[in-house]
Amino acid sequence: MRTLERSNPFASLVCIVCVTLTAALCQYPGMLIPALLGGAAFYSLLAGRSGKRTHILCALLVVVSALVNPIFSHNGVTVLFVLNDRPVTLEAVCVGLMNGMTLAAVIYYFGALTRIMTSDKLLYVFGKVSPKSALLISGALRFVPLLGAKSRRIEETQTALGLYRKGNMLSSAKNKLKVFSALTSWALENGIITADSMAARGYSDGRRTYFAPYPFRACDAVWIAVYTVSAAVLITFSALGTYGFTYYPQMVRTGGAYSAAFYALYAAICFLPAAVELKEAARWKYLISKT
Amino acid sequence: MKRSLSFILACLLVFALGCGVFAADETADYLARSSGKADIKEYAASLGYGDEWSIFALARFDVSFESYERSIDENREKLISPVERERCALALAICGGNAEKIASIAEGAAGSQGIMSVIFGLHLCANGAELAGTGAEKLVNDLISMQLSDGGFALFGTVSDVDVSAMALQAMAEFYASETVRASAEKALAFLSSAQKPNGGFISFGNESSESISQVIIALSSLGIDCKADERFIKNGKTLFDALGAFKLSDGSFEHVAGGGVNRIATVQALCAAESYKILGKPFWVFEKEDPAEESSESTEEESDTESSIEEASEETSAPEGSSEETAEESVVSGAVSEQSESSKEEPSQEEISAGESAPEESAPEKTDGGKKIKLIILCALALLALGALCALIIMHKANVINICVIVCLFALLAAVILFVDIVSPIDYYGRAESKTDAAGTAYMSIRAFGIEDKDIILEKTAFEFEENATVYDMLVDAARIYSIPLDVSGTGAFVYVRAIERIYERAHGDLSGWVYTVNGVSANVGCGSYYLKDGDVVEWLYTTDGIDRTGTYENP
Repeated sequence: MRTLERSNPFASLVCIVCVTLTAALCQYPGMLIPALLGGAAFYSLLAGRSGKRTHILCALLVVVSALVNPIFSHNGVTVLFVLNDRPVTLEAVCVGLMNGMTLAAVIYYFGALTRIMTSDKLLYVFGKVSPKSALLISGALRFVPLLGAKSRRIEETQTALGLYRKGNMLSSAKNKLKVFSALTSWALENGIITADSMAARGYSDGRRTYFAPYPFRACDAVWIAVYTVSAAVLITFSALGTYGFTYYPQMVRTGGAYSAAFYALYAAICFLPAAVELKEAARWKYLISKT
Repeated sequence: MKRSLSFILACLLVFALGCGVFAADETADYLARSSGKADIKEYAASLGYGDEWSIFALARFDVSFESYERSIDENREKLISPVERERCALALAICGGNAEKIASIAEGAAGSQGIMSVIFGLHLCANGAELAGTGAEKLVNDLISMQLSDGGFALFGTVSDVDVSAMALQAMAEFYASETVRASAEKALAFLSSAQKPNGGFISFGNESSESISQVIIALSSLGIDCKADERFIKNGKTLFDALGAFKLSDGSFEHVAGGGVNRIATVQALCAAESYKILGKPFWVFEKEDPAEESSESTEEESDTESSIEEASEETSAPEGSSEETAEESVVSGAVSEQSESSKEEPSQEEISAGESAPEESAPEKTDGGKKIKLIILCALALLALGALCALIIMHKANVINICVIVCLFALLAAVILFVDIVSPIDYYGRAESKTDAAGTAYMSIRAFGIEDKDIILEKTAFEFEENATVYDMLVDAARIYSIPLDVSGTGAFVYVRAIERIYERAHGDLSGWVYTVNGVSANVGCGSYYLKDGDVVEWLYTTDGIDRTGTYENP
């Protein structure tokens, strides 16, 4: 099986959307834990060392969400303590934790998706349906790494000029603000220049054609089939209430027979991208060592 | 000859023990006097719907409850909640109501809503009532299955409660022949013994109340355990009666909490305890139709018997008098509590996932500083986090003065916030209200849900004292604390908004559903956080599903 990165862009998009959609719709501990772990594994394999910041962000997100939710939600049977006449409950903490985990899982999967879906792939997927919005999305996505690179350049320039003093948190926060201000004015200007430049090159004067070197192989069909069917099964069963989890007022898991199979199915589709990635990496290494 | 001997023995015992069993007749007289009745007989004859606990307490006196059956007939449509129906059926059985009527009132109630309905169902069985669809055996099994791992019982949740455990034991006493019941009762006794405080009392729902002690006395006496002799229930030489005596006032009445003033519910339950101790070894809740005097001379136990005989003897000589204003409209504490608990019990078939399985506060002696402990834990966690952050700084070679200052200031700010917010442990919070030093008046409040989510009367009309400038919301918080009603609110001060009471949420039953309140039958046009109470105000909280004020459908009791 080809990795998602080397599959047809349709296949990679459908797979990632299926996994994240299921995670967002079924917020059960049994599904979020594999989603988070599978997402983290997949993202780390794709991003390598550069994903460190995302890991820190996701960890913070989970912790903050678990701490903040009980301040606003007071539902739940197990009262941990009473803060200013408002009960702080274990259930609310767990709901916060689950919300944080959902967000973290989605961030990981979409982080992986942006690494897989380069702008040409994005244009291939959406170009036929809506070329303008496809271009817009691709342009917007391009802007994210561009901003990062530009901000680094501004920082370096200011350091070279002796304006930017690294050292303690207070001064670096102050300098970051300066950099941010320079960055926003550049971004606005750049947007206008980009638009002008595109108009000057004749954009929107006629139909655009795309060259897309993405054949649709049998294994792409397998990816799409496996993920759409699994997601449909999972979402249907949890919508019917066969398998589920209620947090308020008391944490109760529903679902008797085959619930292990239900959760195993989801764990399988969560870990599959990472597993295939790992397998291909191992194979590559093995082939090199042989010659 | 034997009687006079026992009388002398009893006198000796009473003197030897100092404050032993208080005189039950004094307490009974207090009840009669405070209701404006000449004596107990007249008082008993006036008892009606809502006075069930008084009937249980006076069942073994030589009185008849003439108006009760009629009162039940009149209020038949008000009997909705299962526990209330069972309680009324039991009271009716004492009053000699006919078996068919009793069966129809209690129909389908036993075991249908939580532990209290099981307990009262067992009481009904023990008194020979026929319960359709269930039986003593099934109910006993239900009760035992509700026992928690530490041996106690609870209305809901996993933290055992003294009151509920004692009431479960009272029901077990009626079916003590069974081996499994004995084993279960032993565990529950061990729990109660471990929960007893050094002064002989108990803490239930967060505070030390006389009702808990009364309930434990009834439970022990029903099981045939002499609480004055059994060393499991004597702490530092203090017996349960010593602890109960601390709540007694000079006129024979009892307080709910020490220094809290006369409380009718506490008084009635203390009378039940005294009555139960008189018939030590017999279940309190089995009301045989027999002459009380005959009963006392029948038993051959020396201690309890002798004491009861003097109490009985002095019963006739009591000098009743006087007038006192109405207090009868107050609801009975355990009644209210049991109604809250109903339907909070989850289906046993569903798998319960509870991380709070072994709550650390369980029967720990220093419950009262739980809030401080929680604060300490949070502060320790913060300190650890701060240390971790500092370590990270050192590892990343960024440990300069300003960085360290920033981290320290940040955590100091968080610590200050934690120190200044009010954190209370649930055990300290629920079951008691802040003591009111300068009460500005008394207002009444009731909470009704009109059958939403199987909950009807969440709080019967209950009197609350309030301080100067107290709002309706303050009173609601008081009620929520005292009767452990879960509350969910948003906003603060004058802009506070009640989202849920007893976990019934706004907009859970239609877009226009939610909690509204009326004062003296009139819908208020300001939020509950800015309506200031006046003396004698009657506040009703109602759950509406259509935005329509339904005050009219709820007659004031």
